[in-house]
Parts: sequence; structure tokens; C-alpha cells
Amino acid sequence: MKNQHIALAAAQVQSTQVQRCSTMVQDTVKLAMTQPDPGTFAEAAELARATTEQAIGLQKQWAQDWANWMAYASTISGADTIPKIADRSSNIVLQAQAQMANQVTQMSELVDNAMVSYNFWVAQKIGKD
Amino acid sequence: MLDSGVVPLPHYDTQMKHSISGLSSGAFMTVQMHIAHSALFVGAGVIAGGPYRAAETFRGAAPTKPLSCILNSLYIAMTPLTASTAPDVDKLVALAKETPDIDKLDNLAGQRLYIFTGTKDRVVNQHAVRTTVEFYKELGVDPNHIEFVQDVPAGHSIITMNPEDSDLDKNQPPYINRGTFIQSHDILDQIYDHKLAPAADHAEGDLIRFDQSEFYGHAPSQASMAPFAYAYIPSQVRDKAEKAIGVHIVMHGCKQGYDYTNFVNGKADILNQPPYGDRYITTTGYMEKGEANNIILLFPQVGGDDNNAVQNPDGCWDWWGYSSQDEHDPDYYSQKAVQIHAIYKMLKQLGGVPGGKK
Repeated sequence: MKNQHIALAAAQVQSTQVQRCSTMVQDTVKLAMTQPDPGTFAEAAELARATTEQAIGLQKQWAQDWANWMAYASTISGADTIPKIADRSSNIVLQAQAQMANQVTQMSELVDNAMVSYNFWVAQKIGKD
Repeated sequence: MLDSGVVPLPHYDTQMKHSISGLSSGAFMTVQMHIAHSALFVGAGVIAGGPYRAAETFRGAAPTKPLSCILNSLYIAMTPLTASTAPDVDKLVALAKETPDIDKLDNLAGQRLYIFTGTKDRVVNQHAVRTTVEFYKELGVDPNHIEFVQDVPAGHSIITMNPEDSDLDKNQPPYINRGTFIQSHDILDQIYDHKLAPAADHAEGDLIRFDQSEFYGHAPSQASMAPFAYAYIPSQVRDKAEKAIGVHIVMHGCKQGYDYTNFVNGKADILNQPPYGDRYITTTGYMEKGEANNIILLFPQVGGDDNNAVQNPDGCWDWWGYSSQDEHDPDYYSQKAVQIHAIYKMLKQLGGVPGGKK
């Protein structure tokens, strides 16, 4: 990955992602063919529940973040000089940008986590290293 | 207390009852160091850390080994979604038993451990830390010698009683939270079998700064360690009135080193460095407990780098392979690992190591 163009790096990461998805599908098929026991279904349900719980937690946090942003944005009415108005206007935009980028990162992490966790769980079930 | 001098790391005769503890990446690193050099220690303290080589739990996480280690560390070792996706203890124990270049695992049998996980920890969760307890039990540590605390509503942090520290349930830098006990004291009490005196009111010994680079100088670009580190010499040890019990190594977590700098949009934000400084060293209670019990303290420091040689912007200890010479064959866990080797050399210089150890 060293000193490669950003587009090439991104393409490699995406290619890796596709490989991981492909492996996930193949392993899931293998697991389905083993006639899983009730305990396996319970573990799968637990994994889905934990993922959903994390997603809900993120949404709550984001709602709070946007409420905080709104509170800051409302302070512009109290700006008493031109530099202060310019400063706060700029900050409002930058904070929103940073917040959105952060939320995208957090969501990507959760998707990554769910994918790795599911792959790991299925691999254990089918006895794959 | 800390003057502006940089002194050579001194040597003191000790009883060589050494120990180690850490938080977060410092806790993961504590486990790597503890297992790699188990003959050196009488015990360890792990606050929010996973088991040995946890980053290699599931090789199939990615097609390449380096990426697999990163994904394992993030999603299996730190934030597993469920107990069934946490590190596989049986596999890691087997891996430890076949790991070359580490001390015999039999050394662990008589050792004492403190392991902590907060119920509100969102950075290294309870599923992960519970596997650390199981890992040590499977390696033969007496369950009665393990103090496992998992019922405190703490976020990701070392707990103090300082008014200026964060609320107990927070998961935010500097990861030093205010509770109803001083965690460093509990760690040392557990490791030294509850035979220690209460902490002193003041640390009247010497906090010294030394040049850490001489200990990792053979691989400066890989080590990601800061230029300086610190040691605390209790007053009676300094005055040669008492022989030290040993050296306790204190491993800070990510974003807690003295020179941690936040990276904003990929650029080191040196104009706005967080005011954490030496808080992990001077305000967490280690020095006062060490002072009262003649335990020398060693505070190695990791630095932050974010380039293609070392991707470690948060200044974390290496427990997943970023410092390895060959990223496809990582050696972050053995006595040859650059950071473990450096800390070993510091310990050897400061308090000596048992006979026969090279």
C-alpha cells in the first residue's frame, strides 16, 4: 500500500471487501448445509440483536450530536462583531462537516465489525480456521 | 518535582519482585510483555485489555495478515459484538504454547493478577476482557490469585479520586475517570498479596526523565516510542535506606503518552496539544503507593506516528503488529519485538533481572 495512488489503494480495499463478502456467503452456505442446532440459531439471533443495539446506540448519539450542533448554531444571533459572525458561521459549517464525516466513519466501523464478527462466528461453526 | 534534566537511567539493587500493569493498549501490551517475559514478574494488572496475541484470533478476517491483525484487534479483541465472537481462548492458549522466543509459561502458575472491565466501557468491552481471565486460568494461574472486577459502572479509564478527572462512566481522553477508589493502589495491593502499606500522602522520592531512545535505538523508525521516558525512585530507595521490592512497569494507554498530539485531517495539531502531559504518571496514585512500599516505578512512553512506516496516530502500544519488521510475519508478542525488547532493557538497567536472564 506504500506510496500508492489513493485510487489504487481504495480499489484494493474494495477488492478485499468483495473477497470477504464472497467468503461470508460461501461459509454461510456451508453452515446451512450442516443442519444447525437450536443453539446455533440462538447465537445468530444474539449477534443480530447486538448489532441492532449498537446501531440504535449510534443513532441516539448522533441525535444528541445534532442537538448540540443546533444549540451552537443558535449562538450566531449573539455575535456582536463582523469577525465574530464570520467565525461562528464558519464554525457551524465545519462542525456539521466533521460531524457527518464522523458519523460515516462510525457507521462503517459498525458494518465492518458486523462483517468480521459474522465471518468469525460462521468460521467457528463450520470448523474453519 | 520533575526538574528539567535528562539523566541516565540509574541502577538499584532490588528484590527483583517485578510487576507490570496498564490500561487499554497498555493493558494489551502488559499481557504481551507479561507472557513473553513471565520469568521476570510476580504479577500483572490489566485494565481493559484482552489476551495474548488476540489480534491473531481469526486469520480469515482478511486476505492479508496485516489487515487481518488490524480487523481482529478492532472487532474481536476490543469490541466483540457477543461472547461467541470474542477472542477464542483455547486457540490463543495453544498459540501461546507454541510461540518461540518467550519464557516458559509454567512461570505464571504462582503469579497474582488484577483484571478490570467497566460495565460502561465502549472501547474495550466486557466480552473481550472476560477472555483474558479465562486465558490466564487455562495457562495455570490459580483462580484464587485473580482479582477480577467487572461490576463497576466505569467507562474506558483508569479510576482515581481526583476532582478534575472525568465522570466515571465516560469513554473519552485522557481516559482517567473519577470514582470512589484509586485503582493503581488496588492493582499493587493485589499483585503484592495485600501486604503493602497504604499509599503515602506525598511522593517524596525522585521522578526522573531519561533518554528512552538508547533502548530502542536499533529500530528507531519501527518503535514508535517517544524520545523520553520516566522513572520514580522512592525516597528510601534513593537514600539507600531500604532495598526496593522491585520495579513496577506502568503502561499508559492510547492518547496518554506525554507527547501525544492529535491528528486533525491527517496533520499533527501541534498548536493545540491536549493538556494531558504527565497526568497518567503523576495523578493516578502509582507514585504515592510506590513511595510507601519502596517499589520503583518505570513509565515507558510510546509516541504517535501516522505514516506508511508506522500507522499509530493515537500513540498506542503495539499489540497487533505495526512495529514488526515484516508485516506479514509480525513479531510484536515475542522477546524480540522492538517495544518489548526496549522495555526489558530498561527494566534490566533499573532494577535488574533474575540470574540467567540475558
